[in-house]
Amino acid sequence: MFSIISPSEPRFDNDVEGERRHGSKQKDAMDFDLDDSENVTSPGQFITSSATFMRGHGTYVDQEEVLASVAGTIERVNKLVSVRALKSRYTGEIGDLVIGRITEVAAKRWKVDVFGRNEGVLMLSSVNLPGGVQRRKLESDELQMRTFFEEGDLLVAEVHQFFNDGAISLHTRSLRYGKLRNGQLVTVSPMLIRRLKSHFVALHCGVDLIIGMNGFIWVSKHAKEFEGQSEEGFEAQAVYSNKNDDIDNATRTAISRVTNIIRILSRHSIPLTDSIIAQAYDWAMEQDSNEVKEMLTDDYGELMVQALLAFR
Amino acid sequence: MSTSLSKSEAGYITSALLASPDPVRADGRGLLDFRSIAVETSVAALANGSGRAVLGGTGSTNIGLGDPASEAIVAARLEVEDIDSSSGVGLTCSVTCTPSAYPQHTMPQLDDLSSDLSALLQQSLQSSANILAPQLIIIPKKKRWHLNLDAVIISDSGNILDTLVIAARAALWDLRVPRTRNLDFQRQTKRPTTDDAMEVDESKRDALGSAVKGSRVAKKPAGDFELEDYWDDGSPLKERESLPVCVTLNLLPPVHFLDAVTQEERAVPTHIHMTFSFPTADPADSILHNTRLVGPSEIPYTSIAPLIEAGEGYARRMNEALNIKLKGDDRQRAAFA
Repeated sequence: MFSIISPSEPRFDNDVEGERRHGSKQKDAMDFDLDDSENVTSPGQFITSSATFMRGHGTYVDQEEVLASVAGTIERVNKLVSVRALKSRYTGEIGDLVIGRITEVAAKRWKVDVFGRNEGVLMLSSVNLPGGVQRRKLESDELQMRTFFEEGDLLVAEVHQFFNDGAISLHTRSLRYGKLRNGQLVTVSPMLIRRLKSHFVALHCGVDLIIGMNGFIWVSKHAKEFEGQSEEGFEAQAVYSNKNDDIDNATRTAISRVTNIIRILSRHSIPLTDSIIAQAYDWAMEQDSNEVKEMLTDDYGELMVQALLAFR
Repeated sequence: MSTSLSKSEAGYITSALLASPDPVRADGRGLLDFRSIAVETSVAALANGSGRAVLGGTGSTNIGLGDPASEAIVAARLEVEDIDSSSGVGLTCSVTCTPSAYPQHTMPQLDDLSSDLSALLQQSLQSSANILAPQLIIIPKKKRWHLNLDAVIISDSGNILDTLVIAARAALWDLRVPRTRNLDFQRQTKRPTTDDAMEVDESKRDALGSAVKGSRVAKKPAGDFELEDYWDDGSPLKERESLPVCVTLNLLPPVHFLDAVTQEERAVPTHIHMTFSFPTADPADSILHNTRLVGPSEIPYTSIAPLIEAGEGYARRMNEALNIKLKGDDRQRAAFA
């Protein structure tokens, strides 16, 4: 019932010291983007001369030198040098699939927390409304906004555009988007999410994953395929419902197992893809002890990660 | 990140907890499973005793997303105070909530939370501190050590009070009470040459009186105790095995569960804190120091007794587990030294 351990020391990579470059070491101005390992900066690291390059995000200029202000990877667009931080909030890109949580119901819009630098906004005009067909939003819709989404609700949406103030505008104008049910949320760093062909993943264990580009991952019971549902078949009852279906214990166990797998991978900073999660699931099922709570130990995580890396 | 919960998430959590025969929680634990508890002592160099407790995660200080853990550090500090008949036991708990543990809170909210938790921790430990009181007396009826417990919450992913009490227990385990030597005012009695009648019963004189007199010099200036050895840490508390433990039972009738994470706390807000201590290994011997029901819903009076009984069982096992761990650490440290 109680397992009591000693706290482990934070891990440090021994290589970091070797890779750190001294600011005094001048390099050829055009030569700064070498191979990948060289491209990880530490704060204060010399990148290039400010005479030939412009400084972008994540850098600053000191004595005609462009220096990194964050730990991250160097990116260069023509003469603009920027550093993308390894650990940061989500920066939206149009077309990204994100999962967000409603924080506020405002006039004709919902405020959505998408773990971004700027808040997300879902306009009333960007959601599917009952009745199916595309129609103008009426005042009556505006009055019953809370029946669609209320504070705390989770939803899956797509990044539609950016407002002038940088706010991320979302839309849910597809039957695949909308309110989330029948599962639980796991959050990882947005840096660990790879762009996939489809962010709706159905694992063979009867678990669906929705992998938001903002690091929110929805793990849920497998939902039936959309059987060519037309816009007319759109039922507000079903889409905006807060009620979960009946979920049996086996599915719950599978959901918990997938959740723990994602946590372990995130703890070891392994980028998440559908295939590695499926592999990890298979590996977990092959183990002697299938108890999900066994997965919470550090040793189990180490073993799993070693096995996965060996498999690659 | 906001910590609110959608209705469907709350429904998923509660229906999982109520599922029979064996409920599965979000991370695969059963109802009565604690997350792993990591404990260490002597983490703050300048304190008289300190402890750190981490629930969940992997016991490391990685407060990344998706790896939730509750972590608290408690430092115990001893200060000399005069024993005043009006004041109770010399214990002051203060909890600081770091903004990084509660990024969604504003500063005033953080202050409120800190004072709430301080009061909760104080109440949880007050009664058990009474047992320690005799060990903290320096000069009976005059001076004693005042025990300050300063706690910092590094991260919170639920069940923070249990974490705080475990850290406080580790700090008290680690506490070294400085050895003191009481000073009596012994006078160098210059034998009066002239008159025998001048002799007075010296024991009845007070120190000040004699100092003023001038004819008789006190060995030491005004001051009533001294440290035996400045460089010595002091001696640990006696009966450390009976330091308090706190268990929080989250109530979702007809079941209850232990060690809720934040989402579970949101979905099931009613919980009862209980602080126990176990003076001996005898199963019949336990002291319930404090119970506190928190949350919106009521529980019937008749169900309290079984809950306390259940809580005692969990607390006893936690107590045993912590004692084994802390003793083991002490032995290791002694072996290194």
